[in-house]
Amino acid sequence: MTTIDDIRERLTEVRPPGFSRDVIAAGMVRDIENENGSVTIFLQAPPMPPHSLGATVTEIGRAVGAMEGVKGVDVRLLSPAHASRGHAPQSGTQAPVSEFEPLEGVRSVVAVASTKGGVGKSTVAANLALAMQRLNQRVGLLDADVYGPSLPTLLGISGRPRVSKNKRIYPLEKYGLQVMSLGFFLDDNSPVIWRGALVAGLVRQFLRAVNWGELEVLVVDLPPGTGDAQLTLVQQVPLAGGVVITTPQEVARLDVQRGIAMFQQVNTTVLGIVENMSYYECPKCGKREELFGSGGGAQIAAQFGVPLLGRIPLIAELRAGGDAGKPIVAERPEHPVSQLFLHIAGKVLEAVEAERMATAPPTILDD
Amino acid sequence: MRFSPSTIRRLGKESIEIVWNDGHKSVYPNRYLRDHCPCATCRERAAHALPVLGSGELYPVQIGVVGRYAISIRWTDRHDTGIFSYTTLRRLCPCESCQSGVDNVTTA
Repeated sequence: MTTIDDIRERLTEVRPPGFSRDVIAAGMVRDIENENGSVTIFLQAPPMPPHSLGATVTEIGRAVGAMEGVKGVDVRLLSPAHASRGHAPQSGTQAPVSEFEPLEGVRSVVAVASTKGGVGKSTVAANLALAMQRLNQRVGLLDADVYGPSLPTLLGISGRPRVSKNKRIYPLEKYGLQVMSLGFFLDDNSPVIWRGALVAGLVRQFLRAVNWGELEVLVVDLPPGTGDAQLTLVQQVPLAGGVVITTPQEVARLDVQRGIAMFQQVNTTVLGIVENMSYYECPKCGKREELFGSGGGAQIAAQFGVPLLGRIPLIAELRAGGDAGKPIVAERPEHPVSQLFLHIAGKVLEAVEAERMATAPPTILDD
Repeated sequence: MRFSPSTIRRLGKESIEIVWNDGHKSVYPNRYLRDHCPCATCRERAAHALPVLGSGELYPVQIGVVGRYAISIRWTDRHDTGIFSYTTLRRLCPCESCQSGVDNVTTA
């Protein structure tokens, strides 16, 4: 049986074009995994021309692929480490005053928030993530709803995530999404009775210690409210923005205003509002019934000058898909509601790109 | 528009200079900023605090960015819990036009 050490040994024979050292000696190989012959090699490459990088990856695949018992080799490139933190070196062993730093390999982080509970935030987050993925994005989904993690149910995933020797947690994959949730670590009926500091710690760990790999978008499903999970998220990583979910009724509108104000206070763009459970369309006669009133989403959007991304009807298929762990966008992409999610996802991705162009962190200098 | 700093510069051991995204320049003497530390502990005892370090002894050891909305400063007195939001910093700008209420902070 080929061991990790054997693979490491073999990799010392691979030298990138123009380099004097092999990929191991040059410290390019960050992690190696071998799961019954499927080998994954995590590579962090120093700056080099694309063709040299390509040649190196090919050579690694060839060298390791020829080893006994190796069925497949997946070489994953990690993005360059952030060379400088932009502030002076800290004295002694004190922790830095801020932990704010982009996630390695993750291009944009989008928060899905609602302030009010029960508006279908996780359902929307899951389907939105799946819709982004159908638009050719590599997407991760982080369930930051510590007290009521529902993404495992909504996506029909169970199982314990793998933890590597160096304490990296590997997300579970479903429908091509990389998913992490506290639910994976809990029994069905064990409540999470935690104080805020623990919640903050978990969010930090789910951001930093999870091996998200290379992602275009990480969607974070926030718990309702404006508390520890939200604050930790905005203080840890640069957010591309937030998507706020609401329902049309007045009581939701009041809560959601606070959610938008929260994002504004921390200088985070609200990418838009999604109105969920907007109306019910009778499957027999086709008559629309606006159960929760109408125009709530549009009203908030106008009040805060943010776009209304879409109105999602209350339909049995969406609810049933969630309860069965078969989200509508993945299972029935042709359904009008799935099309609606695709439309919303497109708008969110557009807004994310615009936001990327517009914002840069301040430079901190010494005189 | 939303105010955010383009550059934050430590001017020796005297002050911190911020150049904002609208071009406005603010220069904060270290003592002034330290006295306006917005953290709960400082606000509680602001009324009867005695300065421990003299001028020239109090300066930032480290400045870090907090999210997209604030900076956090570790001072030579080892205090580091204050989170100075960009809004607060802009309001604290000691320059004459900002303090005289000729408000250049209102543009939407």
